[in-house]
Amino acid sequence: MTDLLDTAMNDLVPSYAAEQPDWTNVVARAEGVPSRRRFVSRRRLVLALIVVAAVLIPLAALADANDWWFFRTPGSPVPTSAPVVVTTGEWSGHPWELVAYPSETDGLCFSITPTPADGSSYGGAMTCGPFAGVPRTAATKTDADMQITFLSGSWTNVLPAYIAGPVIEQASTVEIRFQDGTTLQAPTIAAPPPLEHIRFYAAPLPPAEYPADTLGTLHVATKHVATITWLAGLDASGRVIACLAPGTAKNGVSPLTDCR
Amino acid sequence: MVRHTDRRLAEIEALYRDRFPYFAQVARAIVGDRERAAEAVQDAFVGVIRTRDSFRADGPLEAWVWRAVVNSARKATRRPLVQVGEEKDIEYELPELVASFAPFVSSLPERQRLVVFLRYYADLDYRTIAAILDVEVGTVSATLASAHATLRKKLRKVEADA
Repeated sequence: MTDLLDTAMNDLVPSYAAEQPDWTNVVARAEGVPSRRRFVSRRRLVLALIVVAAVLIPLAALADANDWWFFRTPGSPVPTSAPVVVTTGEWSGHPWELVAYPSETDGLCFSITPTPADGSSYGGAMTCGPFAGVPRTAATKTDADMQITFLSGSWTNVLPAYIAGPVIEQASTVEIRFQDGTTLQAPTIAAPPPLEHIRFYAAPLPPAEYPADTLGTLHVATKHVATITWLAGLDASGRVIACLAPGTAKNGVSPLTDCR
Repeated sequence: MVRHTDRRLAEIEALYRDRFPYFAQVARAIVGDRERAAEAVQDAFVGVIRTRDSFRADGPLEAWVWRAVVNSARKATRRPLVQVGEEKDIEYELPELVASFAPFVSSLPERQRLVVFLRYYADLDYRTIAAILDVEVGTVSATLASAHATLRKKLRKVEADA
């Protein structure tokens, strides 16, 4: 092969040389032993940034003090204060919790994590990004603050399809428009300190979106997740005050006119 | 029998520990997602441990394990996705040339892609690749040559257009 081809192939897929494999987890799972400390890759962690490890080290102790699954995942931003449970709930018999924390480098981090009786957190997801109302540090990325964003999962055996996220504190409702023209409205939820200046929303994606005979199939669920046209934060009078149109947003921010 | 399978478990563990980055990188090439690839490797080894008694030792254990990893990664491409605010892969940003080149790799026929991935990211010899994919060694050689020719041609075009 040519050197250029070698280079292109090498750059195409990043190395896992620094990854720590977890044989204990493999054996435990093979033996059918439920384990809360599973290999981190059993959870889907989505980060908005690649973070600088050196910055994270001084606050590692704070992270360790909380046994949240995302702190056992390499690359998780270190918190500036302990994660808080914003709300908990149950969708179609599957319990979950929404946890959030302000981070040193990545702004707001929030996660949706299934909380089944066996203690597993398999299926949890997290994302981070600078957000209006969350204080920046000197190390916070320079991207503009988002005013609304989302984390969405398709149907799995631990959670139905869902959408959740933060919105600016003036928003009392979040409206989600799907590509087929249907909308979903979710009330916003106040967050405890130190996140009292933002609100959150969380909702299962409507069961009506799924034909009865294909409920839960990956094809339908994944397709549904891909059809979000926009999300809007609405104030008490129904006025759009925050907007995100994923297809056209720049750095996670859309003009208000994109949400109507 | 117990002693035999325990020894096999030790061999599997040694493979896992020694070759994890290679398993994960090939899985990543197939799956296209870092976390999902690592998960696919874990899933593959769970299956390998559970079915290790069925390994008949008529070929290398490594090829048998690799086959499980490749199958697990292929299966993982059909699992549900989690989506965040902006619809883009922000985990790993590709250089421009590589980003232009990536679709050509993706558009290779599946067998060519797998051969390329196993040769490139796992550094496996033709015989092992043949055992993994259950084809003749000559087929591996021909498939790889064909893939190389296609990729070289596409890469030259990308370079010329840049």
